[in-house]
Amino acid sequence: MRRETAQKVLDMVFSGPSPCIKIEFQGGEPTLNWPVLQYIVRDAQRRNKAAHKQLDFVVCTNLIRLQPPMVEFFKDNQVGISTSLDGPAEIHDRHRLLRTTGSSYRAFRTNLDYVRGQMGNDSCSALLTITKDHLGNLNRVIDEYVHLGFPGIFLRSLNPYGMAAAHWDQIGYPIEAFVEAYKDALRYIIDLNLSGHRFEEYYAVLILTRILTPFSSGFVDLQSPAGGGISGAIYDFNGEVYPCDEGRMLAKTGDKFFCLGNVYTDSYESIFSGEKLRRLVRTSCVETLPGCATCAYQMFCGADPTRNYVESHDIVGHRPTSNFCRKHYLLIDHFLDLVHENRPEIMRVFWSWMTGRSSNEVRL
Amino acid sequence: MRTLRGVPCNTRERIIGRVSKRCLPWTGSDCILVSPQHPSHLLRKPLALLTSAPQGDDLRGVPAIIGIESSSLELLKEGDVVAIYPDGNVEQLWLANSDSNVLFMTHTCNCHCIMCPQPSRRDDDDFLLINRRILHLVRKQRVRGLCITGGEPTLRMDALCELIRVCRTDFPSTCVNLLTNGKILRDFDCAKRLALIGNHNLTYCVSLASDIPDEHDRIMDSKGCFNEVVRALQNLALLSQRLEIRIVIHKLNATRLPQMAEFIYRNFPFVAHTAWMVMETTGLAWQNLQQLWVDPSEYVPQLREAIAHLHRRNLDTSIYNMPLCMIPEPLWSFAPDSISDWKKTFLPVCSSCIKIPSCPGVFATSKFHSTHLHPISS
Repeated sequence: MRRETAQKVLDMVFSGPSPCIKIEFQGGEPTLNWPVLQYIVRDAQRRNKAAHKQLDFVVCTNLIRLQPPMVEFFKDNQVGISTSLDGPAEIHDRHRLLRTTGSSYRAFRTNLDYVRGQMGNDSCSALLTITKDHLGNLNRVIDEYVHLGFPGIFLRSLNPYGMAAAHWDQIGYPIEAFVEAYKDALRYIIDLNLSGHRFEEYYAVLILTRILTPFSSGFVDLQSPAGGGISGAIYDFNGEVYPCDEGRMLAKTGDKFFCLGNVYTDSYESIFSGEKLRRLVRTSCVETLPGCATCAYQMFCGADPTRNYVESHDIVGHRPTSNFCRKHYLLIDHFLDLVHENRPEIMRVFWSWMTGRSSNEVRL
Repeated sequence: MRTLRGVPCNTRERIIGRVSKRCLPWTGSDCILVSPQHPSHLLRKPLALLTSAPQGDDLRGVPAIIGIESSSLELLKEGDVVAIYPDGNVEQLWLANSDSNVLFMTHTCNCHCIMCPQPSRRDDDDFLLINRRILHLVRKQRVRGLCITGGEPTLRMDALCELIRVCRTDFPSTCVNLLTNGKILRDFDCAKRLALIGNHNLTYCVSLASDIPDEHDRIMDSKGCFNEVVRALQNLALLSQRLEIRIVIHKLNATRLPQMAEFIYRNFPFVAHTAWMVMETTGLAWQNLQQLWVDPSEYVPQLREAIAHLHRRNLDTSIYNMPLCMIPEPLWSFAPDSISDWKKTFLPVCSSCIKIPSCPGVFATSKFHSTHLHPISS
């Protein structure tokens, strides 16, 4: 992204009505465009002196090329760091190849330690991408997360976009296989908690919060209407605006269906109250979608028009053949089973996650 | 609070003053001298004199109540506030060094709760005047907490606002509990008036009788009351006010405590505290005892479930007015010293109990207690 584009993007970001703005830098590797990243942070802070919004920053980085001055900048400006960790060295290295030779895991570890030394142990969160490689190995991945001191893990199935779609034969798996692996991994994590090590599984927290509490989870990827474009937006490096990253990735492979406009040519109003986004919102309310409208799990679930479009070439989607539906249906089913079973020690672990406390504090 | 009796001398009107055992020049002009014997010579003339001495000579016109039993006179401590009346009654209005002093706003109420310990009646007094006088007299004391109640205090909205304002100014670090049924605060503007005073140590303690609208209305004997209290809680939450929900437990709601806990969590997750209260068996509760009485030991399982339910969900909760011998040990940490010190007592059966120092005790005002009270020996 050029500086001039960044300026236009900030114009757009600050013309929204939301009292909270979170700017997340994604890429590629956003730290490779360091001057513009710095510019955006500083200029957003300058604008916010007048706008008085809650302003947060997150950078999604593989940590590999991180330099000490960058870390200092992140620390000074309270920029959160989100990174990727796919498991122990051999799995991480198999997934994440360096353009040069050598181990990406080693570079990751060295810089993780450095960043934590500078910014504190909770400064980095990590995201896991699960491929066929791990599916039988999730316990080892969890061990690695625990070993590195992460407070939890998000067990997400692979999404069929971009590179993952291209390599689906090598890395993909049927959703039922994921669900079975997920259940085993969840049991493993629960046992970990019962043995005294507090460690969360974030998808579980999300679904259980919906089932057992009056609060929303704030998770954009599973809400109704879909969160894309109304809870967040993606600004591509060329100024194009997308409701979600998956829509942007689709554009990279030639289909600009989800492009809402461009910061150079379109106004805030035409992008965020334009017919395209209106249609996306209108067509992503579970109460009205075929299959969802009559589903008992509606209130715990959400819609994903982009995923529908990828799977069925229609944002409405086709529930009977939808992997998105299959996955959430099976998992919500599993959580309702657990809630119904109501085993005191397991519920204690769940409530400790949902209320951000240790399971001893939840005990009575 | 406590009332003492004696023989009035020179007392033509009510006098409210601060108890002092020695009337010295620097004790101030508000002092009511408490002295077992006739003071030999007074360096300064007190507002009034309370004494056990039988004779009233040489009072030099000072209003006095004489011949008070010396054991009751000893109950009056330096710094207490008392009112003395021409009929010889002495009423204790404020206890020095107590965190459970009560300011009454009115005797009237817009509910007629089936378990009310203080049935409403017409006001015969200017409570604002009395309360302001009390607060003025104790303004130099370190007061950690006090309670504003009635009747229904919000029926005297102007006076209530005034009092909360005085608390904010003169007692900036005192926790103030306002007991209310919430009916008046269904009106957002009324709630806003209170909120705008900006007393950040104010907690609204709102009564909830049931999670079922009809049941709540029946218990409070006020049609539509449930909807009003829900509205009040939402108004106050919107105004970022600190809220407590109070549930008096009796036969009509005892079986639904877990359901009430879930109702509170689902609908009022913003409340700072929920208190489950053993009923005080006096007033209307005593009159309606047949209909209301359930031995607390019978609802302990439901109470335990309700407490666990809220605790698990990270909502602060407590049991009020229940002695430790009735509470399962894991719940003891949820039972604070909840009965006002002037109302708290122990029964003869308690005499050999080793837990008395940490026990909330029982209501001295209750006319009927659980038959399951027993001393704890280890």
